[in-house]
Amino acid sequence: MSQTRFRSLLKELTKGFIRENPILVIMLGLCATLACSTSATDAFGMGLAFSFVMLGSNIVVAIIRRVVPSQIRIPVFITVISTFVTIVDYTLKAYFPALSQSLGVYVPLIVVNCIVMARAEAYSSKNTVMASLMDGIGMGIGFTLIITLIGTIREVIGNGTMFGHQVMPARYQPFMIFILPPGAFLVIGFLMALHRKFMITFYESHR
Amino acid sequence: MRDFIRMVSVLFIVCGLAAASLAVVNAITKEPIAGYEKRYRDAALREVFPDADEFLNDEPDRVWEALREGQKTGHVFLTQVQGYSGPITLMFGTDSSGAITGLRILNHTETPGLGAKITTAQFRDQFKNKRSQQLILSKDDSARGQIHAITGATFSTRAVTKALRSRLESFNGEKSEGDK
Repeated sequence: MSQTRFRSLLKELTKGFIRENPILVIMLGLCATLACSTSATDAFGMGLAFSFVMLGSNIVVAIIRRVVPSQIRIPVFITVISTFVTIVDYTLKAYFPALSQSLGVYVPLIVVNCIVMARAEAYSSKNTVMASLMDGIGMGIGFTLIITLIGTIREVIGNGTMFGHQVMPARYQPFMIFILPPGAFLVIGFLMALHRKFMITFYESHR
Repeated sequence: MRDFIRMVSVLFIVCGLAAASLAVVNAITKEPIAGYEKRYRDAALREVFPDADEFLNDEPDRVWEALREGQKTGHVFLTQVQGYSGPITLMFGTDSSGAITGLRILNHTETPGLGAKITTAQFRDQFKNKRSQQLILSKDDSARGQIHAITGATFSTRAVTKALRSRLESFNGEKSEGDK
């Protein structure tokens, strides 16, 4: 593999982490982000489930992109995505019942998570399988990182625990609002603001 | 026309492949899922009626007869009630005298940190050894009520308490009618 090709693939992989992060920049799929980030464990589980679907659908869409007529691409994409979601749902139910119970309806709802659809439409239907694979992994990691971060912040402030372990002193009175839906909006808002601030200074110094 | 045929055949093939792969996944995960549900239910039955060693399904998935060494010792009920933000599914047992042997919340979507505390042992253990007429919140009826509500979650706790009481009352009603 030539040097430049490798570079560009690496770029496809890393863009999802920060620069084109699905939550902070693309800002799609916030429904799952809000609902499944009440605890770090749930958030991490959601991140992994999402990553699997993202990766699978990106690869399959890239493989079949030349044979699918553009008029029916949306129903085809939805079929592909929902197949992967159902696989994840059944697998979680069978082998990780506790996680499946706490994520509840949000696993089947990955079907309508717009990031998966957006990546299929905007990226993998126009790019090679290898690049789509990288894009899928990158988006998955970016989503998992940020949703886990949000989950950790909300759990520590709102419940005094991290991944289920007590981290705050026993006298700490948790701010309940961080576990409730408004807390999710607050945390995501602050993270977006921080991210923008960081990105602006980063790009100015790298111009 | 050629386009049309192409579209139909592509969609047909994609859906066929999706169905085939789902059939495979279903075949693989069917056993573990059913096994887990049974284990989960068995564990819940034992928890709400620790004294019994055998459960007979009386009405499918709603009422069980609890047996100890072959003798009838009470019943276990599965019931559902509207909570603050969705249905609450719960299971509880009563011995032959009508006293509650245990309560377990199987499923709920109450507010984390407030209503969700109905799953804590501290709340559930209050129900042990109570009879149906005592199943009232103490803040609703200080003379008879024996159940203390969780601060900030009166609605959820009232729903659970009422679910137990009305299920027991309707069961006792059926029983006394059957005796006549």
